[in-house]
Amino acid sequence: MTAKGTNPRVDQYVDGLLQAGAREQFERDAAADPALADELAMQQWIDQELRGMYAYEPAQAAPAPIPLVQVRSRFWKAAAIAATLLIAVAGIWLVVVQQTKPAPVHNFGFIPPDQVYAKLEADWKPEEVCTEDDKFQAAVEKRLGSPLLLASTPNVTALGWTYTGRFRGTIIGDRTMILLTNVGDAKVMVLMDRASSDRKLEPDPTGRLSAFRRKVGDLVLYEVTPLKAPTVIDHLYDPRQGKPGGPGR
Amino acid sequence: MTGVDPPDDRVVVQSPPGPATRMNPDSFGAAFAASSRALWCIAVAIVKDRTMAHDIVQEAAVVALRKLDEFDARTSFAAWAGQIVRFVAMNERRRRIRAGGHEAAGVSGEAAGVAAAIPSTDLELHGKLAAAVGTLDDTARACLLMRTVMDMSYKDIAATLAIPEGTAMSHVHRSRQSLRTMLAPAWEGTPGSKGVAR
Repeated sequence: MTAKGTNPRVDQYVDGLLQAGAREQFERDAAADPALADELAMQQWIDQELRGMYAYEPAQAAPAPIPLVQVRSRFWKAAAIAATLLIAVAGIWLVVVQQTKPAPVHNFGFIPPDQVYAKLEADWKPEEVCTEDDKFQAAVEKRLGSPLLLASTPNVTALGWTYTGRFRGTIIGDRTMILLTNVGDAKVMVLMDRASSDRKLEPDPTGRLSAFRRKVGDLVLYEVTPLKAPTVIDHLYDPRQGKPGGPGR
Repeated sequence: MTGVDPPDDRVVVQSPPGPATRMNPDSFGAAFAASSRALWCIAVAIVKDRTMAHDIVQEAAVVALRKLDEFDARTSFAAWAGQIVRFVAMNERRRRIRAGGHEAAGVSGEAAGVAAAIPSTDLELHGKLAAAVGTLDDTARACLLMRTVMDMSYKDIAATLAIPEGTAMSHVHRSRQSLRTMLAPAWEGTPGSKGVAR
């Protein structure tokens, strides 16, 4: 056995990754080297134990219903049928209630915007580059249900979208989009979601970043910026309500 | 679409160009059932409880069905469902910790029955193995279980966890080596050991 039990050939062997020649050579080496044989035995024991410890058994099915023919008395037979009907009605009621209730929000924890910014800042590249107005508008409409456009603004360059799937938690709501922009040399991020999902965002504890909020139609926008004033959200608009001035982006 | 380094070793799953296609809810059950063993592995790797892992997979199925309109059928269903299982399991683990519980060091669920079946000479080693497995990170543990317990190919493991195939293999090999390193002192002198002086 190697000093720390980390001979990689043991892993390749138990994994079946060695070619025939290498496999035979390993077996010869193990036969001649008690330490190697010991390490192999240990790994085989570990694998066997893991198979026992984590043995997969399919989830148990619901208990089989008791056949009514087992109920001798007519009274009990009627009672059993009534109980079955009652359970069926209750089941249907539960399903209907579950279907009509709003879907529960699975809160995987909120992520403060400064942490989102810090993660993106190191590699300020969008997951989806979006340079055309119609695609920009369609992307927002598809995800958030309302169109949005960015008016052409000097010094502001929209780079594209990045999504929240890479963050293990909720930023605003469950459909937040992140628009990455450059304002001069500054990296400015706009978080957007449906206004119905709006919540109070946590301030940056270091004070380096500021967050500015604006509501546009059914959407809520937060500009997270190292600058002292918003430079992007005032130029985002709902095209159904008209352009704030100047041709498209 | 431009690639972005993911926060950990996960691959950013990118949809092929063109309009997304949706999965028919009728196909959902079959797709979920086909992935259920791998999904259970993800769950048990996080909560370390076999019975609870089943519950988590069930809950994830409900969440996945509700979110089915967000799934692009041109991408991997297992990877998408695996991410949901992962979130649900992590949520459950946080909930249990907040509720005053603590993480199981190894696997629980029928633990007494498992322990009773182990010869007393191996019991201590078995406990050390369970504790050692508990020290692996969630993704590494999921990879190890999928490979060792489920005999899944690295390709399938990679697809389920949305990680590169080489990363899946690396997780398995490093996990095995780590377990051997941790168990080496306890392994000496056991019946399985050949009594080699180290």
